[in-house]
This record gives sequence, structure tokens and C-alpha cells, in this order.
Amino acid sequence: MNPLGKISAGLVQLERWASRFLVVGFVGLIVANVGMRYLVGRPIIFAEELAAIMLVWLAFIATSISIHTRAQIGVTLLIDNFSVSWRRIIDLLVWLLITIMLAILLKAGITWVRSPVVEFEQVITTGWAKAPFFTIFPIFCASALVHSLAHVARAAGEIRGKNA
Amino acid sequence: MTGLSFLVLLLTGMPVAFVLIGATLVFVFLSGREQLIAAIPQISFGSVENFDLLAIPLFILLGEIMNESGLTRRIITSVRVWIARLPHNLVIVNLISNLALAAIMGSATAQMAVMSRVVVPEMERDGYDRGYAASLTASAGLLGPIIPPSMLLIIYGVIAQVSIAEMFMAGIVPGIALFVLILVLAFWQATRNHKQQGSTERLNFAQKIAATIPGLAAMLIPLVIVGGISFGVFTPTESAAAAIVVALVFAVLEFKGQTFRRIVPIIDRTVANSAIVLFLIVAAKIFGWVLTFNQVPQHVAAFIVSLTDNPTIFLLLIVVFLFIVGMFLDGIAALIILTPILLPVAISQYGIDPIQFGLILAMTLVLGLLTPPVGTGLYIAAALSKVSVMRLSKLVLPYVAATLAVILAVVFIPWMVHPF
Repeated sequence: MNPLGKISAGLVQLERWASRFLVVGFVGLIVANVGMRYLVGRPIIFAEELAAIMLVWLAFIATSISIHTRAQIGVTLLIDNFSVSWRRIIDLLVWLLITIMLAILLKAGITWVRSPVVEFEQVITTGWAKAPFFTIFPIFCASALVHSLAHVARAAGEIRGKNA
Repeated sequence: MTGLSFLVLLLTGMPVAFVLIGATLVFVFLSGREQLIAAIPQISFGSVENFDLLAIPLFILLGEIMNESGLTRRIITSVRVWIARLPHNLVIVNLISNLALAAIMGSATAQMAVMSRVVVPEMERDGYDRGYAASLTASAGLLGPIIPPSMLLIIYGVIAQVSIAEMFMAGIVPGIALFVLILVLAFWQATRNHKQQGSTERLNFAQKIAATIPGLAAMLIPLVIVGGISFGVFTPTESAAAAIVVALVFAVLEFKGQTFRRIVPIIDRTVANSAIVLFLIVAAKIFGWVLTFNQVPQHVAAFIVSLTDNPTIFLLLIVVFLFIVGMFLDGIAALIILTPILLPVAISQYGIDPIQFGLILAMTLVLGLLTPPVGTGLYIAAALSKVSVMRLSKLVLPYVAATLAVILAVVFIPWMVHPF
């Protein structure tokens, strides 16, 4: 495995644990809210808003994992009919394009979380500043970028291996 | 140019979500409005920051717990013991189990995968042709996105800002109509082509009760979901969480001290499956924003209005259009992209009920699961049943026609979506 592949594999372990905590966290929060509403008569007022933010975090972390595992679905109808050599070249091109997209989004994400606009946003039910929650977007872009770079290295290695 | 880049990227096999983001970036750069990229992070964050969307990972988790803990198999067994002596009982078992799972899972592909693994081999052992069994199982999977809870209806409800509980209720009559139609069709085919005459194994009443109780306990789960929502006890998201608690009780008993070891892979699979849906929502929202910026909805509205001013003909055109779209694009992505374009036209120009429109959209797009070249359900059922995709795509045709008949019924009889 190339060094980028090793970093990507290590990072995905961290992401898997984060995703597990998030799933357990929002299931627990929703169940606790329902329980409090019917058993104690006092719902947890911030439960829905916090659970929705946890979903955003899960969505991005899960997506990053799916980039590592190449689980996102694509239409491979055409390229399935190509020869192995061409499929490898297209695979490399696709991962290069995805890497460029993620790099653009990472730059936009960093600019966004550092902009004064987000400073005034709050979690309505708790009054907490929302800015720290927004950091998931650049975090996602950065981790997904590592995974996609690992795929670029792998795809390039496969082409080189074939040519050697 | 946005359309062309979309098509080119799609044909490279790039993940659909990145195709949508790529086409958006191409538009932004070619139009020379690079500053628009600054809006993407906020749109992305906002697209999934929604309590109702939590129902998606929760229902996926519920389905995973049901499968891993054997609850799905118990439902099938408990249905079967009572009708074991009827001719073609496995056809009935297949459909009733699909109906029960549809009221639990909300995902057609998950349902097709489970049932193809469990029921198709049993039907083959009972003398049915494997292709017939696979086509019936794949087609019955279409009940998943129509009978509540349904992932497509949740996503539509969030985009269209209509009550998800109302969307769920709207799916009940069309779902039951489709169930009856598939049952009649399957029975007719079975009677014509197969000699199977039911099991000779006799069970006494006590044995039947003993086999039924575990299944009945599992049936508590759809009861919690549908009952909880219809009586206003839970929101759809809360009903999923409550059902998870019930399923977990059974799972803990089943896992016998190995709960942690077996729960972790369940959560990992939930995360993996949720990632596909949630990232599609993010990407489609970004792409939809570009379409709105390009005033595509207005152009589409002007074009459709120039074709007809009749609401029924409009709906029929939409069915044809979505049927074609569903053949090439994932149903969820298509729903997220097309709803903001088509719904305003349907409401403002034709006065169509958004609930009726949503159900027509979801049911037609779901047909794409069974139609080549991109029918995910077709590929799953073919792979798990070891039947060729080509053969299976021919065998499912009568069921595709049956689904189209129900869609047409919803077009012509709007009452079907507001029966209560």
C-alpha cells in the first residue's frame, strides 16, 4: 500500500468511530426526548436541533468513509465495456477530477468558517455559537481529499504496474 | 454546457453525487461567477440540517437490526405456518412478508436484497423457476418506497415542505392496490407455469402458535411505526427511533451476550448506506441551486405550459418523463433535482395537490429500480438469485406494467392519496 493509502486507512478508522458515536448519540437523544415528553412531561427542547446538527456531521463523515471505500454509486454502463487499460486510465482521471473538486470545496469551506457571517449564527434552543459546528465542512473536504489522493496514487500505481 | 458536462461526467462512471457537484463547478467557472462557490458550503450544511431527514439513517438502522437479529426471517416463518397447505403458499408468503418489511424498512433495494437471499432459494426448492421467484421478489420490493415508511416520501416531504406523516398516509391505499395487483398477477403466473401444490408437512395448532409468536412480536415494529404516526404519538423520525428500541430488545435477546460485537457492524452498514443517500441530497441541492440560478424551472414551466393546460395530461407527461429519467438516474437524485423544478409548475399552473404529485413522482421514479440500463434493484436481485439481468428484466415486465397501472390510478383518482 502506498503511504497515502496508509494515511487514508488510518483516517478512516477514526471516522468510523466518530460515525458510530454520532449514530448512538442521535438515537439516544431522540429516544430520551420522547421518553421525557411522555414520562416526565418535559421534553428536551434542544433535542431536535442538536440531533439535526449531528445528522449533518454524520452525513459528511459517512461520505468521507464512502469515498475511502469507493461505495458511492456511479453509472458504469459505458466504461464496463472498455478494456482494462482504458478503465484504469478513466479511473485515474475520475479520481483526479474528484480531488480537484474537493480541493476547491476545501478552500471555499475554510473561507466560509473564517468569515464574519458565521460568527453571529446560533443554535436557537441553546444559544450556543454555531460556528464550531460548521467546521465539519472543511474537515470533511480535507479528509475526503486524503482519501481521493490515495485513490489517485493507487490508480496511477495500477497504470504504472501495467506498463512496467 | 452544464447539461453536457453532467452527461460526460456521468458516462465516466464518476459517482453520481460528484457528477452533480462537477456540473455545478463547470457552470460557475464558465459563467465567470467564481464568487458563487462561496455559497456551496452553506448550501451543503443546510441541505441535511433537518430533523425529518434523520428518519433516513434511523430506518436504515432499523432494517439492519431486523435482518441481523433474524426478525425478518421470523416474520416470514410466522406467515408461512398458517398457509403452508394452500397451493402456491410461498407466493403469498413472499408478498405478505414484503408488505410487512415495506412497513419497516423504507428502502426498496434493502428489501430486495433481504428477500432475494431468503425467499428465492426456498421458492426454488419448492419447484418454482428461479427466474420467476427472483422477478416476483424484486417486483414486490417496489412496495418498500410506497408503503410507509418510505425514504423517497421523506425526502419529497422535506423538499416540498409538506407533512411527512401525510405523505406516509398517502402511500397506504396505492401500496395496498399494488400489493393486490402483484398478488393476482403472480398467482395467475404460478397457476399457469408451476406444479407446486403446497407443503405436505402438517403442524398442529400448538406448533403453529409457537412458530407465530416470534413473528408476531416482530410485527410490533410496523405497529409502532404506522400506529405511532397515525395516532400522532410520534413524528416519523421519532417512530423510527422508538421502533429501533423495540427491535434492539429482541436483538439483545438474540445476540446472547455478543451484543456489542454484533451491533458495531450493524452501525457501520447503516453509516455506509446512509452516506450514499445523504451525500446525494447534499450534491443534488447544490446542483438544484445552479438550476434555479439559471432559471431552469421557469423555462421548464414555460415549455410544459405551452404543451398543455390540462392537469391530467400534464401528470401523464410527467409520468412518461420520469419513467425515462428513472431508467438512467438514481431515483433519490432525480427526486431531489426534479421536485423543485416540477412542483411549482404543478401547483401554480395546474393546481395539483402536492401530496398526489409527490406520490406520483416517487412511484414512477421507483420503477427505475427495475428497468435497464441502471436498474439497481434488477442488478441486486439478479446477482443474489443468480439469474441473468437480461432474463430478469423481461420477467419483471408484467409487474412494471402493474405498477404503471397503479400510478395511472393515482393520476385519475386523487382520492387514493387522501382516503382517511
